[in-house]
Amino acid sequence: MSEKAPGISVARSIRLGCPDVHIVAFGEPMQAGMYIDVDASYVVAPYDIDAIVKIASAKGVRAIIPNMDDDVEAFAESKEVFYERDINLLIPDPNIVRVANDKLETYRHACSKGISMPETVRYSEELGWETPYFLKGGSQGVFRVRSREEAFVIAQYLKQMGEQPIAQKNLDGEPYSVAGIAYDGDVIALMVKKLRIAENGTTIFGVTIYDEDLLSITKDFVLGIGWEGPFEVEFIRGKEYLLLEMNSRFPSWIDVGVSAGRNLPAILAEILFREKKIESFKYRTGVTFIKFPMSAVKDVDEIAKMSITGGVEWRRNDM
Amino acid sequence: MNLNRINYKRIGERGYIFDTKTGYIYLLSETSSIIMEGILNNNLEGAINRILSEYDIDEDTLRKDVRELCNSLEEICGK
Repeated sequence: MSEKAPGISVARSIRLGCPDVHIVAFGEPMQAGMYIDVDASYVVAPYDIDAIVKIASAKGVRAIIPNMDDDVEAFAESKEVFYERDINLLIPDPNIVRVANDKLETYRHACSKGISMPETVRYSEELGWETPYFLKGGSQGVFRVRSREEAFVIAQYLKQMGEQPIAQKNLDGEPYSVAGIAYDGDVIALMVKKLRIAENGTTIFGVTIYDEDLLSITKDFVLGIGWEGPFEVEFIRGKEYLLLEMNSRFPSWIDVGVSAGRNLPAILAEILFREKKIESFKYRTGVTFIKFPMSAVKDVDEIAKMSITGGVEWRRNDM
Repeated sequence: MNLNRINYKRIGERGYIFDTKTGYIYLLSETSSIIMEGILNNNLEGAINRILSEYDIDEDTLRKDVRELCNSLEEICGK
């Protein structure tokens, strides 16, 4: 779990929606998600799927929900290993995950399905686009660049962080986002209008809405690429909805669904445990969320214990 | 006019409209709130009479304001 990823919101949603479920976090000792709304935490290095398989088997973990884009690809490549151990996952095959994680692939697929999307190319210093436009750098976020010089500096930063920057044209409009679960040929979704976005592209203020047209475009794209599992699709709306990008995990605002009556992480947990059919029912529109920084305050003993022993099982009143 | 997609709520002397499809929020004045409630309760004439008795406004101006609000509502619901 990472502070940028939705792990904490997903854990909180499952805690509230499925109070009997024992929640386990896999991550590093200095990630807040290792301490908030989980029953046990185990230390694993990034992308160390073998370690997760070993610990999950030993501890009786029955289902896993990856919460970072890069993790989803690693899990997709190893999902058979989990299935062999009766550990359930709902994620598509790796080539389909790459359609979401590789923004150029997303663009190619959207164009081939007739879904409108702003022009998206790999950034190069020779790119002669008029500014502003957007630079996207995977997990490093989205940056609105206002000059060629600024684009160059941000692209250099993204390259240093191991990303291949993607440029996307800037179009005027209102931002919207759809979180959902694709399962058994259907999609259950929660839609929001983004009312404020941080400089790095994170949504910090939004409100739940319901729009059949937006749902229909989302279904066309998500089911069209053969997606299975949780996702977020982001749009901008001018005269029509334009797809901006897809993320292969829930967004960090997913916990607004608890109050809106569409707790998607809890629904996913039920699917993973019981292979439950998706039931579509109306959720509440007009529910807002405001993201804010929060600290996980722990005694240094607990950080040290986790680092030394590799894992901690919390009593519920410890959290 | 299909008003199903909007939610109206009064808070004190003023109300607001929330468009459940686009997420837009429209804050209404005191008199627009009364007109809105008249529309929702199918009693627009009652709302107009109440405003004429409680506020310093002539009927022509008020009826023009009512038409403008109705046009705005139609525009919202057609988006």
